[in-house]
Amino acid sequence: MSLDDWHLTFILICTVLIVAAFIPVVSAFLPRNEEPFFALAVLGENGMAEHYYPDENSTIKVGTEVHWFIYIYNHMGKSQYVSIRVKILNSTIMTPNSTSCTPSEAPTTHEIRRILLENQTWSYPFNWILQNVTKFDNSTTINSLLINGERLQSNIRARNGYNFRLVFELWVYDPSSDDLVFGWKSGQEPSCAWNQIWFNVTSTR
Amino acid sequence: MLRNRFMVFIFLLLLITAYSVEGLCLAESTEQEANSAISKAEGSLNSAYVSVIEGEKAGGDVAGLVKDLNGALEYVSASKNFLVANEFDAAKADAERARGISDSVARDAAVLKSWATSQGEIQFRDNLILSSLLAIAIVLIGFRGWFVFKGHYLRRMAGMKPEVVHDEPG
Repeated sequence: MSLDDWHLTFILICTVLIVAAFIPVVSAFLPRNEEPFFALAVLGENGMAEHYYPDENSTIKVGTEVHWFIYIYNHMGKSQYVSIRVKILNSTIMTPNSTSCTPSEAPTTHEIRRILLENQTWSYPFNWILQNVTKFDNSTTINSLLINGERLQSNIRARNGYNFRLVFELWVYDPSSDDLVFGWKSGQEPSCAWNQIWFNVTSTR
Repeated sequence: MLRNRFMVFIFLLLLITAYSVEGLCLAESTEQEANSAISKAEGSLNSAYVSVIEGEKAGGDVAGLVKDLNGALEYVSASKNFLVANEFDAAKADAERARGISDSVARDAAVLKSWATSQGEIQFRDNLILSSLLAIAIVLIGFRGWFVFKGHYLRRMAGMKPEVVHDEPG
């Protein structure tokens, strides 16, 4: 290598080292490129995606306790104030719309609110019991249920007790509207998370 | 005599009516108060959350504040349950506890934000100074290194003897 080549090599090495020396300063201004998201899941009695029903039977009897876990993970880049709204639906009531991020029109039966730190996972025990179920002709109505010991009213009915579902919607506090909204903004696109578990009901114990 | 008894009876009747009406008014206002207390608690909680987010954005560690706010959320939830059960005094008491915690968190978050902002500025200044010193050191060492290397290179070049190679006839 000639002296000029060595000279150029020295300048290049020094430039790279100087740029590296300023990385801690420059990094304070670099934007975060990670996509923000929430993860929502309903897990079975062992905290895994299995064993959702007592005795693996999706027909729930009155007075039988069902043990689930609601799992939420916050990857939104900051702490988030969230609400899980639990709704009871039959097969004809519309579920939330994932494309337009519209929540289900069914009334909220139970609500859980929590503030999650960035990157925090929260697992919430969700134990429920059908307390009062009535059957008239072919229609079975859930009149009341206990969720985590709290007695809640309902009047959802289904033909022969088939195809009820518990829907879990993730609502997020929006400081600009000072209210909880269904879903969140991921860039310019609306995103939302919801989950449902189907079950049948029998009025016998 | 009869008139006096009648007057006493009317007086007692009025007293009992007034007491009952007052009781009803008190019960109604307690429900309103409980509802109002819950609304205020939720408002305070929302404001406190926004303050916590600002503190976090400034670089502060908000884990403790979030834990306290979750405690306030539990009080609000309990308060709503008491309200449904028509236990207005308990509902109001829990809502006021939640509001107290939220207001305290909001104050702490404001202090944290101020502290984290100044810490961030100090850290940025320190980083800038260290990076600048490092850059100057790199330039100085680079120059020094270059001249040492150049001298070494030139001495080596000067010490070399040209070598003439004759082509051998084929």
